[in-house]
Amino acid sequence: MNILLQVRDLSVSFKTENSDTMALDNINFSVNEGEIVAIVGESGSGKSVTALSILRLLPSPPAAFKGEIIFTENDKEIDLLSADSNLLQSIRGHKIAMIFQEPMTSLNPVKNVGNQVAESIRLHLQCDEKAAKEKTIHLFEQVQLPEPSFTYKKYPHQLSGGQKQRVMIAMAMSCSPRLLICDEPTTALDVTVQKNILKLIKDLQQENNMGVIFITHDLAVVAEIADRIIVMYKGKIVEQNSAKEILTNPRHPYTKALLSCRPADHPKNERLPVVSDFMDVDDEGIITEKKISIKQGLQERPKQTQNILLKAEHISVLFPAKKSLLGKTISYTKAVDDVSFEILEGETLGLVGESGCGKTTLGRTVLALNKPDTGSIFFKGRDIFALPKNELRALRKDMQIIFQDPYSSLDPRQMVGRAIMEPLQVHHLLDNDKQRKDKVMHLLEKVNLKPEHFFRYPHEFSGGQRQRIAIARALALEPSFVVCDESVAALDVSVQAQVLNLINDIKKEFGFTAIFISHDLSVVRYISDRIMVMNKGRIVESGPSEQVYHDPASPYTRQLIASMPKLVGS
Amino acid sequence: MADVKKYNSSTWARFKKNKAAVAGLVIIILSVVLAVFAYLIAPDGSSNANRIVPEISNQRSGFSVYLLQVKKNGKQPAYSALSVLVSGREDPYTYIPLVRYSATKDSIIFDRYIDEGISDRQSISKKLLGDNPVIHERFLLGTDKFGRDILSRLIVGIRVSLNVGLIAVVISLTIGILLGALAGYYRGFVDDIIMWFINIIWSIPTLLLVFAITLVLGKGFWQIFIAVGLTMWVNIARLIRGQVMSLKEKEFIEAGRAMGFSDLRIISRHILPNILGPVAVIAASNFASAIVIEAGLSFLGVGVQPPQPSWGLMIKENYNFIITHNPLLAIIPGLAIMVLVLAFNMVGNGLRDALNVRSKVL
Repeated sequence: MNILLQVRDLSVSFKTENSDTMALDNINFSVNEGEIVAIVGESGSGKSVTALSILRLLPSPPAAFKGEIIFTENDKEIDLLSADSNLLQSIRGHKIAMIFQEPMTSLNPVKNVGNQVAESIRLHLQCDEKAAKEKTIHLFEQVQLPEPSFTYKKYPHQLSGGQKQRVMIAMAMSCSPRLLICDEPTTALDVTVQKNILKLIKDLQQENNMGVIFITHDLAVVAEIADRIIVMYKGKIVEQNSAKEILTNPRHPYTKALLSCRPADHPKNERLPVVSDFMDVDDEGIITEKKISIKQGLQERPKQTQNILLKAEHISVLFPAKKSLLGKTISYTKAVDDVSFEILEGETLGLVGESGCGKTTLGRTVLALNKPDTGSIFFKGRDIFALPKNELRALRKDMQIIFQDPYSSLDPRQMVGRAIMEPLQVHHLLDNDKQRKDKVMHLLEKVNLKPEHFFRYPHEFSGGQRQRIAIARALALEPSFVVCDESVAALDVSVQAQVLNLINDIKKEFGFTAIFISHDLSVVRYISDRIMVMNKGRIVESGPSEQVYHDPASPYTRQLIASMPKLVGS
Repeated sequence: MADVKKYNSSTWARFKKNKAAVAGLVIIILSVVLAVFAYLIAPDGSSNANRIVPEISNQRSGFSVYLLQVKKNGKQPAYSALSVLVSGREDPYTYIPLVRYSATKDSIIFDRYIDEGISDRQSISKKLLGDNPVIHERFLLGTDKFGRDILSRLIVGIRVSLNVGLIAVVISLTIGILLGALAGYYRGFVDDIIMWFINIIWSIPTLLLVFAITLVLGKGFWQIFIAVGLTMWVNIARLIRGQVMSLKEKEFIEAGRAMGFSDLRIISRHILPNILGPVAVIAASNFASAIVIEAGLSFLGVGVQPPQPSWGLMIKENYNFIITHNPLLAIIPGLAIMVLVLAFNMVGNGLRDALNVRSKVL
């Protein structure tokens, strides 16, 4: 087997005025022809920097490189780090291609997708328009886009997320690259779509005998397709081995932690293990393994009663789909279609579905953040849509929401302490600001942050920390009902476990009722008592979580479960 | 608290790197100082720098002459230091230019300057003269057709330009932010009405609109400020509306609603602080265009009324000399307008670049 790419002693640092940040620290690995190498790590581990360095896509300065990246082509060795820009141009897209995470933004919205692919073919292969079009349609067939010659003329907004990613793959494959770099290509996609895309990448790789570098934060995603796995942590490679070996016999504590912090088959009431259970990192970044001392203690769940806290009756939410010339809406899409359910006090209800199924709209409607077109919602027996405006506002302190994106759910210009304190001031809770501040300090402690974080701004925190701040803010009002809308979806698997543990802890302590919205069945199963599965605005199945998870009644749920990425062996 | 400083100081650090912006800021600070102490700095400290000496009209820059200070009739009112600072003092003397003079015991004999090479011998009793009967004046930038000092009028004229900029920006920001935020936040019916109004205002040429407003309010100093302010809010309102609309989609705004914050609180505490950057930039550029509009209006005669000095008015009074012997009279105020406008635009650009972390922070 021929070595395709060799990374030797690669270090990358980012120079700013005041400091050098080491992004990659002396990493070594190689990729063979016809091999899928997965690079796994949490955000900030340097996995994307590695990919961008190979293609020399990092602006330099600020990036400073050391080491060698040797790309072998026809037995000729090229050091990509010292290659001039003409040579790089002929390699980029031609010999080495890349697929990005966000298919929504990587396509030009004003050109049809076929022309975009054909353009890159003409650029690299110097063929005429007709040949490029034929080749594009052939590629669209290869990536299994429906009706290739018809799809050719479509614009990006007319395609689904998965289809757009297929177009991106077609574009990357257009010049039959020797090496394909995939940077989290499925993270933004639904599980059912993810499964198909993974299979497609694997098929294309085998057909063309390409080398593939697959970057992800989730080991399970690559478990089925990778030949070799490289685990990265804070700019270093902590472990690399064959996929089988890594998955069944991990050596490094961080790998072990990554493998076991997934909620997939974890017993329900037990705390999820997190990275810090496996290892300690001292100030110099030296990792020492810990004796595994996972607090396996059962977590009590809040007592459930038979009182109905919230009741939704025949909720429908319509979105205008088409407008007539005069601006009158002539057709609607039903985002939520005649949904009724009840939540008992103390219960956690999981709401699962793929993107666009209406789960977020339903969550917002339950909190009266938007009005349903039909139906009513009773919270503690009161119809929330019949309440006068000021009473509804007073009621809001009893029902809270924790959002998906911790980056946009906090005001960037507001100190986090003030953000948590603001709802207390608005609702005149406690007597004075001194007491409120004490309460905020207490809350920060509850979500494992430090009192000095009070005076920091959101951009100084990591995603996981921000999500904890958002949780502290929602809890400040001591609500009896909380909607968690994809609250862990934007987080790395390792951080996700921490936040899930935190939610479980505070649920016990504050005893609130919750709706937990997620696209990830395994997370929902772990955290909720009851699951409702939603598809196209309707509830297709609901029942106790273990029953839905292990013995699904509807074919849609079965399909969801089958598509979930699984670690080999589990 | 240290972090607040860090956030602001990094903006300042980025601003400092932009040489043009810093130069603009220096020019602006200098002109503010000049404007505040105008009557103390200007060689001619009389109200409106309006010392008329007809004999020495239209002199070139650097012209110098002896002036005889003759007391005016009537008692001079007392001036407080503050009123001198604000509006100067009425000149206690009338001035007679002279070529040469000799003093006797109780009178002064002098050759009165009438024109280049023409003089007339006269004498005057010392009782009618000031304590320091003869002064030597140099007119650095020359004199206008009334024999007034151009430099002094230029310095006092800064006040009009800066004031018109400041007040027009305050008025237009107030209206623009209010209407823009309402339209962007509430959308629907409110948005329709405000946008309809904006589109109508926008369709009227600015100068025409200012004419109409000054027709209603009357000509003059304050009317111009208000008229300019009332025409400039439209751009700000549109900008704010767009910014509010995109910010409104952010989850922290929704989080605020979920926590029962009032709309007023969400708009004022969470939306407005986050659009400060673009607002600061447009405020700076509006400042500049207000100066230009005022100059234009004064030039057309609907702006600041004589004898108050304004740069536009100075151009109007002197533009017919451009093709004759003394073009500097009109060119100097023109250059002054250009420099000040340029300074504000450079600061505006510098601010835009310095505040551009917003996308990163969000």
